[in-house]
Amino acid sequence: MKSRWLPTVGALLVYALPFVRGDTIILKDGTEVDGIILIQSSTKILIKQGAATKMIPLEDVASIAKSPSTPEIESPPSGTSAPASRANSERHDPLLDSTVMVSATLSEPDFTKPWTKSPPREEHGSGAVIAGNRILTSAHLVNYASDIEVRGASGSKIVAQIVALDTTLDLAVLKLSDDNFFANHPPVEFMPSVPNSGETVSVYGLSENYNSINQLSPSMAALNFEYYTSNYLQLMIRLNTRLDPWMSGGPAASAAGSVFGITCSRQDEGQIFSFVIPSEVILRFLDEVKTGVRKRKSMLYDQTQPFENPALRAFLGAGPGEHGMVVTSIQSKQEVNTFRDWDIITGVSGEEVDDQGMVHFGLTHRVNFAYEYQRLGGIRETLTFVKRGRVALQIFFTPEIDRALLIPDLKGDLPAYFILGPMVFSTATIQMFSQLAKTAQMISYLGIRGSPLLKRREEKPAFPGEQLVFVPSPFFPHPLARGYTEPTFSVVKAVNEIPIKNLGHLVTVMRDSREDFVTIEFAEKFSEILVFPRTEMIAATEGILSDNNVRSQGSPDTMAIWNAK
Amino acid sequence: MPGLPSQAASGAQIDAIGNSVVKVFGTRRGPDVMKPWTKLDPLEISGSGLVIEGNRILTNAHLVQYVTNLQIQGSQAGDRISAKVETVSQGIDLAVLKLDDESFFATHPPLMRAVGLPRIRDSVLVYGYPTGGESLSITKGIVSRIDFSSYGGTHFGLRMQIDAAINHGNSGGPAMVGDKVIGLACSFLSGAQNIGYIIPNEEIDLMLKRVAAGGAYRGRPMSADAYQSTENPALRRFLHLDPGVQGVVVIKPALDDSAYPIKRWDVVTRIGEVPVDNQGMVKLRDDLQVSMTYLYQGLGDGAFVPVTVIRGGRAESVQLPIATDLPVLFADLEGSYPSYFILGPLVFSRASLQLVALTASLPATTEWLEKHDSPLLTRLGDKPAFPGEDVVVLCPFLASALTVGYRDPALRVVKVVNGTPVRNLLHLVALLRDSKQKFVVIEFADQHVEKFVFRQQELVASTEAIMANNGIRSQGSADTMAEWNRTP
Repeated sequence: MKSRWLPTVGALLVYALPFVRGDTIILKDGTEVDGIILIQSSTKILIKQGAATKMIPLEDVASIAKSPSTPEIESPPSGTSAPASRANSERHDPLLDSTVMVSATLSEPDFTKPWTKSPPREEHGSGAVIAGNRILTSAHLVNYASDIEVRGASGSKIVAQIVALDTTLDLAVLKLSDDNFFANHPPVEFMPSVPNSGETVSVYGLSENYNSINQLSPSMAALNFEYYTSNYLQLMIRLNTRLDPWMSGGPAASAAGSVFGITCSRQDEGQIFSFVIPSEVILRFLDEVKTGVRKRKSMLYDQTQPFENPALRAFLGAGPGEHGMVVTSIQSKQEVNTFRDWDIITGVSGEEVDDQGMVHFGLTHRVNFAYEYQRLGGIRETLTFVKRGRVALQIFFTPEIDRALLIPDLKGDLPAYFILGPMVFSTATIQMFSQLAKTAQMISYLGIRGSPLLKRREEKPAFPGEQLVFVPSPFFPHPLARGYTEPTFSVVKAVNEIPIKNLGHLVTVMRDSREDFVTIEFAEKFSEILVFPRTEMIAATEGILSDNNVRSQGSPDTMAIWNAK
Repeated sequence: MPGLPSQAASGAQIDAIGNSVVKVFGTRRGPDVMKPWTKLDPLEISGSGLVIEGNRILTNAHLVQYVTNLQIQGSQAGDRISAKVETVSQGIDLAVLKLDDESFFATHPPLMRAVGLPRIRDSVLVYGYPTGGESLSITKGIVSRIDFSSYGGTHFGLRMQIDAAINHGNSGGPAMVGDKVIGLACSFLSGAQNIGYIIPNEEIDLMLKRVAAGGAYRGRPMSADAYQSTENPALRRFLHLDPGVQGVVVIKPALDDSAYPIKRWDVVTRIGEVPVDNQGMVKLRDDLQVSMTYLYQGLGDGAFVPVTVIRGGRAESVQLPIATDLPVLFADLEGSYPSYFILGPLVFSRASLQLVALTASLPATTEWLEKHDSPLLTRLGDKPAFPGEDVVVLCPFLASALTVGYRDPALRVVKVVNGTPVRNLLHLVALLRDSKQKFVVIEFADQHVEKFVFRQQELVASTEAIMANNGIRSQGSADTMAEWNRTP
């Protein structure tokens, strides 16, 4: 199905690209076409002009004049659909100089012992040199790192530090201790165009023996809008092979040498999940880092379903030419300009939505329409065409931005905790939950006990600041706990009959109590009520910390509350 | 308790005992919860049983559940004799069989049960037909432990642990002290050594007596109040308990109602006249301590048991409400096949304990349930929210063009049909039966799933052909077909 509107990807290009170049194509009829050449294939050239892109058949072209900063774009040899591997070219591939090896020692939190860390482990991966003397890499390679080292294909390791980190997008920016490195390691430029399906591409990154930089040539499979971390949908470029975890962070380029993203690859329980993070996601992130303005992540939370089934179409009175996605469950919290159950979304900001919910992306791809709400994140209203009953409507829909979750993402922070007497308290986070709920038995155990960790997992906070406070570890051995069953993984409901709102509130309640006893109630079925003598519980804490080699009674935020008066 | 007869049985006695132990054979066809219109593939089973009074055979429920072609065989004879299940008490894992030809009992007299519980360390012989051979096997051990514990489902009872070897096939065979039966072998703890379990006579007698009086045995009465131990010193001070006072504290009464006789913070100190310790145990004998719940049967009248509580510092006599068979949302099938109803490509079924046990054992399924907030996970331990509540699931689609554009609904929980919340499976059948709408709209309790819309008339019209295509004999189970065919 042809789109009637020009792709609006162009609008993003203009505002995102910080640098200016100019190429000129001189046509056989004498006219000149100015712009920036994005792709040159054996039959045509794609040139970007302002907000638009133009396709020019090569047979119409007399000559091409490129600006000095344009990298050499090689035409593929005619007769083949895939370009020759760059490794066979006699010329040195500059992208090998723009790729680095990243290694880090990670000191990750241990969510079952939040006062300490998991044993250190090493991560080895890749990175891309970017403008401003910085390295772009995957956040998961460097999150919680105690030391990070970067090195080029030859040369020694240089110490690096994190400048910016986004765990949702899995991107991180590093700075080096020695900027001389960048003298012979030029930055890549991220180009927003996405290769066509089937096209061979080049990915650069750490070799399997961790000693050099390699280039591989998989081919482009698909552009998807799907879940990677937690509840956030994002644009992903899928290649036809899985890339090894040590390729993560390295640049990916089209056959013509145009960098279209960086690899993201991680291993979880023996399975490798890999894709390429597209340029537009990266450029938005880098812009956030540069300006300090967080472009918050917008999402469509309303649930929709395909409009394919004939009975469903008849039920909604759809004619044969009507297409779109059906709204099945309103989850957004807007009060005006909302969708309703059974609305059919037929178009979003200039794109038609088909019965599978796909809209055009660029010239050759289709992605889920919900992408449009994210792409324009930061722009408040998105024009949406809707059919409601027999009526066609236009709704200026404002997608929800950065919905807070009851069980949130830690985003690289250390878990908050507080110890009193033999008891440890912490807060439920996405990272804690994934470390905890790894087995079917554990999930069923949480289910049988009616744990809020399961029941409320996707909820928003019921009121601002609500957290689930839970017990991450068994008691520290101490007579005060005599006769009590271990409350491990139980969620605290109330202390001294006061319903607990969050960890800070729990600390405040315990700090300010003047009762003889501290009584702790939990949310789960079959849980005990724990009663401790208040002054003894407080007094026992120091000895318990020292017996168990615990450095601090709590994280800085909880200790600040405990020590205040 | 009276002493038990001499423990060393003579050779003649052993032969006589063996004569009253039978091997049980049958073909099991268990329920297929994912395809409720059919059964699992047949499986040949074998185990043990013993002859009891009244020309009956006593064996385990788990052996004969879902079994047809039941037969027994005496130890010396080759002929098998057809048998039928007379009663089954799944909760306590006991079943009583009748024989088609009762002449068997003329030459195979019953084994008598001992009165009272054996003592710890008494020597025990277990008779049966375990794996590893064909003829009668006898193993020897002692009574290692007696406790009051769960029988796997919602039933609790006395349970004896012995160290005589008990293996697959021993189920249903008698454990003997001398020439008297002290219980029935029912299971063993896998992964451990020499831990086998015996259902003691007391549980057997309770079941037989109840069944003889007419009706099913629904287990021992329990209470729905939640207790905890009063061992912790700070807890005791908080409750103002004198040092000498022993008992358990109520932390959640079954009902919040002010009329309910038990209150939060009540400390239960006696069941009848029997004192309760801080862990909720009562002493039956110098070598035997069990959970206080054991006494509800003997000292209660079925609805209440008199207890003493300390409330507000004073001792009070209170009637503690007790009941058998506390309702659970995901009920045990108890030997029946799952209820279901088919309309077009849709197979609706009532979720059972067996269904949620299956899903909990499959990691990929559990992960799906967790990501979609399925009630099959979040309501696992629940009671019904109202009497008669079912959880109704949709099984995988039967192949049909009507489902184009919809993802397979396997195990999604049906919440609403045509705008009406579904209370249970029969209610859903009635809704489908009585609908005058052109379309059937189905909404699910799970998150991030579609709604289904079908044309009512197409669903009805396609059912016969779809069933024929899939070799399905009946559109529904007896209960749903009765509802479907009932004129409202």
